[in-house]
Amino acid sequence: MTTVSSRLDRLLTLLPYLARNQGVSLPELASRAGVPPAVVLSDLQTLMMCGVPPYAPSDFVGTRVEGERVYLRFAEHFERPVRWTLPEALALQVALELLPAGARGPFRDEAARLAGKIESALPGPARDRVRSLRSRTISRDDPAAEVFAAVRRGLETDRRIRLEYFAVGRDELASREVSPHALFEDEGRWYLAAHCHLRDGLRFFRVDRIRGAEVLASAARAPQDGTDGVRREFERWRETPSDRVRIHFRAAAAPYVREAFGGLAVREVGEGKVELTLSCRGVTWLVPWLLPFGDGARVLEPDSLVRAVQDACRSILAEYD
Amino acid sequence: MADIKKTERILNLVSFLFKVRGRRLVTWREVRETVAGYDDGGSAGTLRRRFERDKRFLETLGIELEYVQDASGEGGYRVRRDATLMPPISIGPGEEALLSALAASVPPRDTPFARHLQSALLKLRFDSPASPDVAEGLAGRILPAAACTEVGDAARLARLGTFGEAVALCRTVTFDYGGLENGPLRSARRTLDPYGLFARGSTWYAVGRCHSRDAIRTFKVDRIRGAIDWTSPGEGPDFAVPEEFSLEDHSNPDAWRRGEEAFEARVWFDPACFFRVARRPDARAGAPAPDGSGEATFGVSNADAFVRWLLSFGRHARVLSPPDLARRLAERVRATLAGYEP
Repeated sequence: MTTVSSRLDRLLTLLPYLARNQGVSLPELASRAGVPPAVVLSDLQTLMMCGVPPYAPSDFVGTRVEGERVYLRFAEHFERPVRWTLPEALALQVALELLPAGARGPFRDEAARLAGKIESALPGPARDRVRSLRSRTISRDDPAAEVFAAVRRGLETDRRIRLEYFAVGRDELASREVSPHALFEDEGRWYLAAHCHLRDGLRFFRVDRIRGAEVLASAARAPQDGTDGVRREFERWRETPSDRVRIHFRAAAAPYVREAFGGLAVREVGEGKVELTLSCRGVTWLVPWLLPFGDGARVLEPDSLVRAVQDACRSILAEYD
Repeated sequence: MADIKKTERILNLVSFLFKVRGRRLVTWREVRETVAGYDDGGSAGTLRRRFERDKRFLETLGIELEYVQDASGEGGYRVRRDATLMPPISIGPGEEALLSALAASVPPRDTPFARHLQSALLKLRFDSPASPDVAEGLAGRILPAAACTEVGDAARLARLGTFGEAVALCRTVTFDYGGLENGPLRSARRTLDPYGLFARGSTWYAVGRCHSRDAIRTFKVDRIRGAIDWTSPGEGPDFAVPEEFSLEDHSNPDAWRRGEEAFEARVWFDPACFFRVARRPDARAGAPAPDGSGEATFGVSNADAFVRWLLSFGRHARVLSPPDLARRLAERVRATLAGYEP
């Protein structure tokens, strides 16, 4: 059932597309359809038996693949794709509203414009339902639209950007000049990968922690290994732990700790306490997460984290003296 | 094999209907006598039932037929072209880049949501050029969690897709929920009329009427275990959203908004944090000072929870009023320090 539906959905769009784009390449078709080229080829195979009465030779749809190019004959009556079904229209709206790449990401204005165009292309009842989803979705704490706009401009024009960035690890807001390489998303958050001219190296900046971004006149430096390299570098950076952390929590805090770090990192150690053990990169980023626990959390190691918590406490108290 | 036969038969039927283009009516007799796939010598009843099934199937594909009688009184079918064919939608370069990013967000796993989104995108991009010249410098430089191949991401997307559909169609859902109060390994079955969805940072929450408590409750979508099921078949609605319900009022998952207390707190934030606080709609933030610092006012229902939240800002936040709140915060910090004394 499913395969029949999805194959027909695809064919009913690929047919008119091919009819007006003769000689389009197979990889292009496959990437449009979101399926491997082999699936497109088997779709085309199905067409061989498809025709109209009286089924003379010229009544059958003809497909021809030459090298990578695909041609179609006798299919002019497939003029346009069929309209979205309700589940399709909803999936599109869900993607625009809820996915990090949609209305909450770098393409905020485009997403709003597109949602409007999609709505106006829907028949009345479907339009109401799709619209109701929009009015019943709220998203907060997203990065500022103007920050995304500036970063995009920097990427598009290959120019440097001056960032005002709050680095949690250093606990400070600082201004730095960067050459933007890519914007990428990870677990729902957007990061800017850029060469930092202050530190002379590749750095990753969480976009929601960028206070302001200004595009500069100077040309950006190109990434060393292209954008693929940037992604690999991020994985490597995240997965190379340099520090070992041990923290005791009161048992009441255990569910929160488990949710944040997974059950395996947490074990009971008696006296109504649980212990969290972690291997991570840098430790000071843990301070803002730890402070709310008050004396319900006590760092055992490393010493640098103990000192960071103590320093943070003293500087808070200094605010109230 | 049966699938191939069905695919071919449906394609033949659609081809015929499209070829005729609604210029004339297509009668059942014509279908039965000429369309390949109806020529296997089945009995009249079998063929008719097959045709009825196929018509319903065409509807699920988005093809709408109508039955009309012509002047001579003979009845037949034609495609309702306006309702069936996609109108052209113009897509600008920025929108094209957005669509590429959305397409790349879909995990290759075969969930209904992923499938519907793929085919919806395919139709939407029908009129855009074969090799889109998308915002040249941006191509390949904006990367959603493309590799989304991890099971977790695919499941997450599937859950969001289901909730989006449930909210839009007002359909009741049921799922296993691992609330924190139950401990990490226990979960409880919940049935929910989802009234709306909200995101806080990268986390999505569903809010609506929880059947077992008969009250408005908020659920963190990532705490749902396993599949989300519908309680009834069809396209809804299973419930109506009460008129007095306001998503705005229910879209703050912070613990300091839930409690018996009621007071206003004024807090100063330094430039490192004020810009993020000012983006929150529930912070009544004043204009920033020239250095970027500023004050914000919050309606607080739980002072202890509010203190905990403020502590996550470290030295970048300072309570201005009420004095009692400042005292409690300082006490908590002193207790933390004392915990490290030998």
